[in-house]
Amino acid sequence: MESNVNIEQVMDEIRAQAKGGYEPGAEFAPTDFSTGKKLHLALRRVGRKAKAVTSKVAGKVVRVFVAMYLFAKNQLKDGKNVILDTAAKTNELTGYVHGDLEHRLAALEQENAALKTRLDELCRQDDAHGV
Amino acid sequence: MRVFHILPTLVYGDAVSNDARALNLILVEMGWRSRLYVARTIPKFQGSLAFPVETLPQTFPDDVLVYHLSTGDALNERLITLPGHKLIIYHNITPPCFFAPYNPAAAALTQQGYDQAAALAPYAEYCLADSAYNAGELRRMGYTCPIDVVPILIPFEDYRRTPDAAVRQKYSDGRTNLLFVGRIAPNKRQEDVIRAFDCYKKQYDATARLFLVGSYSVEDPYYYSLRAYCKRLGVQDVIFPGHIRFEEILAYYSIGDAFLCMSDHEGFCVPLVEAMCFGVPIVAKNTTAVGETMGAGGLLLPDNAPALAAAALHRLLQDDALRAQIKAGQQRRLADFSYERVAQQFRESFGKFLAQIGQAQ
Repeated sequence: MESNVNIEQVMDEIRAQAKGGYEPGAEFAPTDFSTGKKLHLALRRVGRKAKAVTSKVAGKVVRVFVAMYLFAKNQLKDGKNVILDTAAKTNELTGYVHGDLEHRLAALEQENAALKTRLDELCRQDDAHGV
Repeated sequence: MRVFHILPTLVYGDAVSNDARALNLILVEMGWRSRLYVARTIPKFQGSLAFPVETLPQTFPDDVLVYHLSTGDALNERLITLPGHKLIIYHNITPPCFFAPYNPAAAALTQQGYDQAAALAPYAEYCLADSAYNAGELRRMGYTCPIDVVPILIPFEDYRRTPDAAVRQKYSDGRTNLLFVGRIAPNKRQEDVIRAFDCYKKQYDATARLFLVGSYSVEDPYYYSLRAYCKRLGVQDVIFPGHIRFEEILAYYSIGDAFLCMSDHEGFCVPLVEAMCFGVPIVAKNTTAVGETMGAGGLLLPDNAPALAAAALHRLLQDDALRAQIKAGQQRRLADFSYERVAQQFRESFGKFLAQIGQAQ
């Protein structure tokens, strides 16, 4: 059987209860994609498997994207990983290597001095945080 | 006299497409040899249910063109050039301002839709609008022809299908399941749903979950912004199921304890009717067509204040008598949207349109 609740009264009680209650601290705002995220999405758009992994450089986390077989077939063989590092805010790739992930991450940091320098620069920037 | 039924896009599961398919069947039942002509469709419908608009025969001034208007499209302009009496069915166009910060292409498309809709006004001889809100919008765009409010036809028989068992099993664990259904889009204000959920969870029920059921693109900055906002708030248990099967959507409705709609712009809002169909009580912000579609099927909020929405959800979930009254209100409102009632409204309006253009039924 239908009850006979006074909705206006209920709303008054709800308003009273809401007063002084918890309010979310953060306001919503549109968030722009980071360079890394844009690259990630670009890879997804062209149907590449992509995932973000992280590498610590100079004590800070730099995100690196791994895509399968991104470049032309004449450059890479099937199944090889391509590691892409992205320069924050510029949408430019700073370099790529391929092969075993762990090994190549180490290569990023140790073997490619120029890239290491670039990553260090990025890490000094507040916005060099990837996705 | 012949009847041609035209719309830009016909796909599976979309409200406008469902409406077009159902109305076309009614036209056929009324004895008209009506066919759907579309600019885009899925292979399943091609040639059987819908025909390419390029194959539309030469029309003549005594023909009838039934046209579904809901977005910017080249067809909106082509319709003006086609001879024939024009009946426009207006499903609303989302204002471009909602898309501007995230998706300039969508903003441009919807602006084009408004411009084209205004340009169509002098050529429309009769209009049907899903809601009184949509009818008012047509008037504001300069439509002076008769406008009848005929709700969108909802295929209720589809909702009797068996909900997905895996979803039901996974989330039927006694925790409170809050729900909003609708594509992830800025006008739906999913961020306000998240804010209200954050309040509800912190103040009333730490174990609650929120399901934001609706398709999205991972390339959509609005979706990305919502995920980032959840992180900034530190709110857990916000679940985006993404593009899912219809049976899974049914499952989310079937496990929903309350439906929270904070949308800023709705021309009708089919998910409100779906929630009522499943007896899920609603808390909704009173904007555009939301209040008239929901009727007495829930609690209406005057604004997007999260603490107020959270308190309303809490009251709704705690107060058995209130919930019973709201569910009874939902049943009454659902009767207004029954296939038989809406089909009859359409038949009557179509008859009035034919009488106006001097055609016998």
